[in-house]
Amino acid sequence: MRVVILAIESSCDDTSAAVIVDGEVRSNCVANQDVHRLYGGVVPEVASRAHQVNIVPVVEAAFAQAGVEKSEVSAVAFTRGPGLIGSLIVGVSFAKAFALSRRLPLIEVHHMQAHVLAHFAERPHPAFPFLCLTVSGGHTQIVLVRDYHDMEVLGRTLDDAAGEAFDKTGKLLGLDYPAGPLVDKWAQQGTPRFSFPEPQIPGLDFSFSGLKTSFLYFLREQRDADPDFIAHNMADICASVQARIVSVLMNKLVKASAQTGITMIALAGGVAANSGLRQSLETTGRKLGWQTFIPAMAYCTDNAAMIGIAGYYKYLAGQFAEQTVTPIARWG
Amino acid sequence: MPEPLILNIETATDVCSVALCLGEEVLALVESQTVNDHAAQLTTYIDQCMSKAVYGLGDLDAVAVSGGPGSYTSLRIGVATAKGICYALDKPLLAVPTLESLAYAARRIAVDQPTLYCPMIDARRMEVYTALYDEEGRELMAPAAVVLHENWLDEWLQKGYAVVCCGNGSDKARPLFVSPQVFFIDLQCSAQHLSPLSVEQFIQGAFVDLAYYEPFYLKPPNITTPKNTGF
Repeated sequence: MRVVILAIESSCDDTSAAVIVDGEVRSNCVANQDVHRLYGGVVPEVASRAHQVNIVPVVEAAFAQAGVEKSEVSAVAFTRGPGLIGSLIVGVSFAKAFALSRRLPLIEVHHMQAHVLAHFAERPHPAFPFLCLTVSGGHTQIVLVRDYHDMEVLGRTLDDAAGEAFDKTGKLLGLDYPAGPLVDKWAQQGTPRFSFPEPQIPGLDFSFSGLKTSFLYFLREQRDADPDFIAHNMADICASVQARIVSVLMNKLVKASAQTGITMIALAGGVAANSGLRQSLETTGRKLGWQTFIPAMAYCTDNAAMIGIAGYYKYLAGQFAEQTVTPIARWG
Repeated sequence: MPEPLILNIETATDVCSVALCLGEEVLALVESQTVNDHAAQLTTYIDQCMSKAVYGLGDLDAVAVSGGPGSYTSLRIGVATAKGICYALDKPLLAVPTLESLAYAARRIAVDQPTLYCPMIDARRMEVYTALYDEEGRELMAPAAVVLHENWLDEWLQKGYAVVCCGNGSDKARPLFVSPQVFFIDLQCSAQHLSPLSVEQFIQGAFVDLAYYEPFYLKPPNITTPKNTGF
């Protein structure tokens, strides 16, 4: 009997559904919500409403692309959290109702664990144990991954996520939402000739809010001297900010590798798209003899395939949820 | 045509309610009024309702959901759950206007003078979602978000109407409307009140689009844009 998982992800502003057959991704459909561009950030109520009209078309597309019938599904996996509660609640309610209707088991998935397990959507994938640096607009973590189900967060951000730092500094530069990818675009044409202090945080934790503040003061000072400072130096400013954020991430990753003796290193989350981070992982990895892994971008940004992969391994382990399960916005 | 078997779901307020009805006859009703419990309980109530009446979800002719206005979050739970069942089992979806269903149930209360029915659903502060219906169910005032004040009903009272207020928003109106022409009845949202209207819609074939249906929020999202740009 083949194992067919219907997976649903609705933790933030993308509605996604995927069909996973025996651990292979057969479809991974995402409905983006471009509407948030108008507001310069994700508006929770707008996101929640959009999930409500996206959920059925996205699930239908996932079945159609996979060439799988609803009647073939073995279990329904869904993102339980962390995320925006109004967004999560649409996916969770739909998943529960679908499972109840077809008498199927439910599988709750932790969004951050799914980002890590996204590596198993493709080959080659890292072997256990490995370290995973998960960086997105909402999260920054270094995770020690011992097994599909056994993970330990070694370090996390104490304030802003790395992706948030990219977005917020980009916004201060007047770049459109989401500003992070635009900072990267500009950075590729610039030289990191401005320097920003590296936060001194003990252990493997991160902090990015100080960087944001010092960046703001830096811009104010420069603009006092030259009102067109930003326009004249956009590429170099972006290259400088990017270099600092990337070095903060890489320094902790190097430290984590040294502490654990693990040289199997993986990257996950939406910020894995950042060219500076990818380059730095490659050069550092080569220097230190790491084996590095970066999933395809479709598995880095929020997606249901990773929920389905995580769900598949939970299915094999018999880890199911009750119908009374509810979403959790903040889930450690 | 045989009587349709319809699963009615009502989550517009803090009442989480499910009724399985054959035509207008309520075969099973499971409900509770626990704040913030809908997400945990709704599907278990549905399951209990079906078991009580010894039916399976596959036997349904349609699913009807209370379409709002009401609490955004709890409406979301009801609608997403209804969509999940309909999608999983290829059933049609019906959406019953919440205020109309309350007014319909309130019309069983007869007053010996021309009467208007005023269902009220609690919104924030002194605001309620409300509408006015006459004895035939005609809508005299469309659903709106209204900030209550003591003269709000005067226009209708001066015309000689009695007004029957109901719903969880009417508690706020009670101290304001002291006229002997205004009556308050203890009638709350319940899935059983969706039934007459959902049957009517079913017979008319007035189904909503399963993919693109969204609840009647009544208000656009409340969006505040930050003014502080850092400079």
